[in-house]
Amino acid sequence: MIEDAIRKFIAEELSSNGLGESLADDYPLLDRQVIDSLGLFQLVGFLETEFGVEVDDEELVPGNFGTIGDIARLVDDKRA
Amino acid sequence: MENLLHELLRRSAERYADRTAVEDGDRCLTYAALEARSNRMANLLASLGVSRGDRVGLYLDKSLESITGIYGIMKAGAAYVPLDPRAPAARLAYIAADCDLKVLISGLEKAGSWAGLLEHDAPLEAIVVANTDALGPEEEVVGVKLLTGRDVDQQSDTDPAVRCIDQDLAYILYTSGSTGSPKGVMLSHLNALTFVRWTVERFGIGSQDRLSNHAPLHFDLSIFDLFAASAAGAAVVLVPAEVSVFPVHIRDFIEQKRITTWYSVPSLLSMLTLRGGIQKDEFPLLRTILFAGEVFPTKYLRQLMGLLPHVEFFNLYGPTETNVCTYYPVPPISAERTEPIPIGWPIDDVEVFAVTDGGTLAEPGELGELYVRGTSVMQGYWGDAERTDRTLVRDPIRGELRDPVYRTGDLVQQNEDGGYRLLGRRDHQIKSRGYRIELGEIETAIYAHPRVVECAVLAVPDPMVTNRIKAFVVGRDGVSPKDLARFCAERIPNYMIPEQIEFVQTLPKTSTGKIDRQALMTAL
Repeated sequence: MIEDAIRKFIAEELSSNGLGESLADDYPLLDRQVIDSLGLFQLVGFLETEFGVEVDDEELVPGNFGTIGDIARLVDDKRA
Repeated sequence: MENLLHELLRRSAERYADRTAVEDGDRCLTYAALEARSNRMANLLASLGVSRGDRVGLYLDKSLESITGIYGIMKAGAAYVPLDPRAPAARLAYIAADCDLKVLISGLEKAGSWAGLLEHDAPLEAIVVANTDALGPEEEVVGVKLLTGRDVDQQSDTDPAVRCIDQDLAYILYTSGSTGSPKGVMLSHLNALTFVRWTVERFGIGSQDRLSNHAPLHFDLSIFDLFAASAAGAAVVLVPAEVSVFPVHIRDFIEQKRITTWYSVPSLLSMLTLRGGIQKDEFPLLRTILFAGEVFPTKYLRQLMGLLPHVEFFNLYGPTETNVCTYYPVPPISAERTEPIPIGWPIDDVEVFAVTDGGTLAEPGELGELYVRGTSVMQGYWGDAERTDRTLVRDPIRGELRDPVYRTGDLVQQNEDGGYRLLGRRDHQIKSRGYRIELGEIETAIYAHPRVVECAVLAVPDPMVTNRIKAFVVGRDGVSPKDLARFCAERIPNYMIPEQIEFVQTLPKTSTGKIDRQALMTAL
């Protein structure tokens, strides 16, 4: 599942305060500062290689990265 | 005419009363309003017993209230101590106890964290919750007097006119310390003004300018934003935290807020270059981009300069202890260049020189440690005479001079044109995303875990953020990387927590029994 792959990436690469893989699909990643500017870059790099999608500059907005669900939706839309 | 940072505000309030001083989203304060409001804050602080020479903490998200707080604290004769609103309570309580913060200017958004500071023995007696007029019973904290914006309103708007001199401390900035605790860099009004006045002249800042403030207030890049603006009667526009996460939002912010001078760490500018969707000749109003805090990867700098040919770019260099001590106006960069740009030449009233390992003045081309002399150099580390004596030393070349010079620990080489190039560090201090980090402080945090036997923290070079942090840990039964990361989060700020924690059986040792960092680096 896309969500699980994203969750795993966030837990292993971004979540330096030890949040782990218990992150829910609707956990507010931006409000809780799980994703910062650098994290966003790493995450986009991951999405592009892992799912073979290309994320446009203009798609880097909070609506697409607020939660794991949002990110999965973005990937889904890009692959459709 | 007094040489004080808050005098800049007073004079601009006389000259530019109705011009915007600070903008925070849809809210803004004119110079007259900021002056009046900070006078009220100063009077409230005085009524709480704050007097010349005291320290007052700032513990709230960046806002009109925090800027008002900064001026109010200085007008009360005290030094402001900006606390990272996101740092763990234990670390902030250490700082509060270290410099004896009895009064805190805070915000409602931090209400949930006050009790934590007290539990860790912060000596707080009063908290001014500047951004609310009323508090509920749930906000109460035992043993601390709580005040609100309404208490600020009730004060006189007349300047309390506390007599200060320019050598008095204006602020203390805590940075990472190698022994495991943060250290407080004491800076006077004169230290800041030496730098601020130079910037206003060199960058031609005027009352029409609109300066961004991206850096947090506990980061010394904010000194330029706030005080160059008030020196010139310009507006400072606060960059909301959520804007800096998304490069296209930074682009829109610069455009929509009509920013003329941008100052930030290079990593943010790299991201803007790569993912900001900037068109050629974007930002027609932007005149100047200043960057500091880390090396700007040359390829991204060249790309950004190519997109914005009408903008002047400057590399500013200087540890917090010296404000900024050198600068480099960046000329067009050739397509082949990969080497980082130089740190350049000293600013006015500052002298820099390099000393070789042999204790002689380094000749151009010779490697040496950079020393800084002049009125931008700090007063010392708060409460740590020993550390102060190690870094603020007699001039090793001209022993007859009595004023101290600051040893930066940075290794440099002077070019034939007199400018300097930065080559490395003498110690284990590193930079990551512009933050200055002592690897030893991270190791101390990890060692505090009862099941950690041994650890070594390394900086892994990274083109985007200068360094990423990796920890190698020897642990006993069942401690996981996740546990350890969570444990660190209670002790050190997020940017210091290793991005990777790897558990190993043993750490390689040198012949003298020390952890062999070189071998670990090679193994990466």
